[in-house]
Amino acid sequence: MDHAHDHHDEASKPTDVRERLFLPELLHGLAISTRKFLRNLFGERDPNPQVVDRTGLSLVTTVQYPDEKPIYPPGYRGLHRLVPREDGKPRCVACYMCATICPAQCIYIEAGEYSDDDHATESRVIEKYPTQFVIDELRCVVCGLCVDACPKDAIRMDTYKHTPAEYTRQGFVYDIPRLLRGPPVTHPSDPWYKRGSSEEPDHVHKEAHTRIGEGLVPLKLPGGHRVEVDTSNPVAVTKFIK
Amino acid sequence: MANELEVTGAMTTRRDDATGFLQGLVSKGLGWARKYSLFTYPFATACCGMEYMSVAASRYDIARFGAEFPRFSPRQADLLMVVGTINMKQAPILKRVYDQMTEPKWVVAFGVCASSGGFYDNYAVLQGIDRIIPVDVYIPGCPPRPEQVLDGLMLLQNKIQDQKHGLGNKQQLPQRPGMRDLLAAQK
Repeated sequence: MDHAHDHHDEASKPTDVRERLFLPELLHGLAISTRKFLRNLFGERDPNPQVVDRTGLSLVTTVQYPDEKPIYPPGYRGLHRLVPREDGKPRCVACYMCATICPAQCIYIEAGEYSDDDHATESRVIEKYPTQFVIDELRCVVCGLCVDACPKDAIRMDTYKHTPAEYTRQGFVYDIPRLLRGPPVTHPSDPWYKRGSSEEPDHVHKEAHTRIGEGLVPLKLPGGHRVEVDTSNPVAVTKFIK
Repeated sequence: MANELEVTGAMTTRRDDATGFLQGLVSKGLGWARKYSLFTYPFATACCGMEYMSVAASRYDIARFGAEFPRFSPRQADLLMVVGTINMKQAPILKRVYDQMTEPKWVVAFGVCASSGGFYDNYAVLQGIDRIIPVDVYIPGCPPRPEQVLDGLMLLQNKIQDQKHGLGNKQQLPQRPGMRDLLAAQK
């Protein structure tokens, strides 16, 4: 006999006197409600923001928001940030990739150019930088395409903070000072790690496609000192070069 | 330097001081009462409506802020939550709903579409409801997280507390023809 048939039998069973009297079942239901009510009222409440992990007696699932902040899941796309370099300037090279792909067209960039006689290490290998980088967070649809489009890993949404509400629309205009935050990021492929002169060996060219662990190439940091990369677990360079 | 007339205008008697103090007290009390008893009118037109439900449901529970009771009649509401995209066809309706609400009333633009049009930058969509009605708080996000909405609600409560409230509205109400009158005039 299958389950559905079983259920049908159960439903079509004639009611007994206890069920037809109605009162005992009514009291039964009332007892369940009262038990849950008292449990929530006097039971100890676990303030864990992850409601499903709570262990307390109380079943109240409400998050007391300003006091208890729920943990956003990994990969949550929050408020943008412009990723700084080691020297505190944004990694952005004003290539307009993010502004172009943005479906809401909420990114506005004005590019500036480093002059040739600028002696900073980065400035010799980077031509452009943003003089204006403005995101209108009130138009942003938090799709994350700007993060995907960025070739320099210069814009991220990993702040795990939501954009706060404001009284005015002007308050949502985020410019470079408001956007530039978070830990600085460097990659082995950053152009200022490339060889400074032609005396260095040719395979340094591969640095642009090198990941940490590949070996072969001692990385050159802006300070002038060299960092030996770990060669114990090499990764084939063909994995990254097509 | 202000001229002599302006200086004398600032002078107050003890009677004025006393009434001013009382009015301040009443204003504070009314503000306190009003900010914790917001009756929302959720003007939900799009996907943000789901997030509004999430805010209203038990996990986030705007009842904790005294705004638990959605009134689907603008006459009974004092907080208009514009939840979702407002297109050109919907805009007159929104304007009418706002006009039908009684004072005091506040408006929250919920989500980027209501606040600025979002990524619907086209001929059919109103580029922000503040083009037709005044907005008190903007909540970003597409859709906003419930935390963002609660942030916005707390901002609004602070604003209401700081506003000036009085007993009895002496303001002359604008004479607006009803839809029935407009239809009668057309005939």
